[in-house]
Amino acid sequence: MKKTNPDFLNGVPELLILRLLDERPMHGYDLVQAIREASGAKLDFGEGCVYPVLHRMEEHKLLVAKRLVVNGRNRIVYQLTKQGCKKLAGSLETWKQVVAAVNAVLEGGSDGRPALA
Amino acid sequence: MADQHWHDRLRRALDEQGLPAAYSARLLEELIEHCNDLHTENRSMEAHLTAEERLGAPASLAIAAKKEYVKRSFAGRHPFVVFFLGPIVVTQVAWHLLLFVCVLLKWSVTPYEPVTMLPPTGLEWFIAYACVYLMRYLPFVVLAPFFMHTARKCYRPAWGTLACGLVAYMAFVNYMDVFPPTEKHNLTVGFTWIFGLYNWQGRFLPAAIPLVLSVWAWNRFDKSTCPVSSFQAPQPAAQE
Repeated sequence: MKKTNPDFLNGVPELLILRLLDERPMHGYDLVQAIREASGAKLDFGEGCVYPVLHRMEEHKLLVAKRLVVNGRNRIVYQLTKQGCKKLAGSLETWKQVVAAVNAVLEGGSDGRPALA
Repeated sequence: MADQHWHDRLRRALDEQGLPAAYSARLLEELIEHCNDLHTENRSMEAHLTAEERLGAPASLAIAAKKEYVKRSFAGRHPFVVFFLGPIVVTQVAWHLLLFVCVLLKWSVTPYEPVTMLPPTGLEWFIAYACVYLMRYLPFVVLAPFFMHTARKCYRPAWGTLACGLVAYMAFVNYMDVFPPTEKHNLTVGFTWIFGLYNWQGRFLPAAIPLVLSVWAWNRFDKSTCPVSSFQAPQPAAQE
């Protein structure tokens, strides 16, 4: 059974969703497939947990949801707002800094010795 | 066709979490659509297994949904600030602001001194008692339902109850009364904080009313904030 959203992934689903919706509007299933594809199926999460996150992001005006008929089916399609674009830019910057900092610790300090063996 | 058993379990799990009906309905709708997509994607897989394995267990999904629902508002993310510090600070600020207005009003009609030794007029009595009853009830009667409404919107019933309890306690502690004229002053109003049980009968009603109103507010306000009702009618789309 998959965990819906492991604790260490806090903030990551939001970043992925913002990044992928920046490319094009998508509905939930489409988005999950895009995450799976883009991550090479490395990110393992309960697909259902995407929807509560999407609803919260919509409430925070980062996304806008519209009912559209897609391939003959009535779907709720999510689209990035201007606020969402700004949030994406900020989150990407923060993420890059965190990754760089963690890598610096894992790969060694300034003296070249690995901080973690 | 998506798995009905899984849907039923999910619906029950969402009901158990006490989420707003509109929010649950929309989540359910999207998950059912997702289920249908999964079946389209792989028709050979067993329906029940696909939904459960790919989407997650209904109980976990409902818990995750509630967690996300709560995080939607500032009050949901910071309940201690909003429902513990909030009532203490806001009731005191509101009470003192109203006190300032009432004292100005009362003094404009009946100054504290010089002592006139004349019996107060009907208007003076009215203003004095109006100030006292406004001070005893108004801030608390407004703030208790406000905090309960806020708690309901972010689904924090226990915190809402705590906030209303604090507002009621403030109403019990903040005391105001009319003092008839004496040789030292004219008709006046006085206020104090009483932490003991002195004159508890007189302070019980101002404390009880906010509690009753908060229960009413809990039942009265529509807690659904899900924007599903504001969606546009389905429109054809050019792209998937």
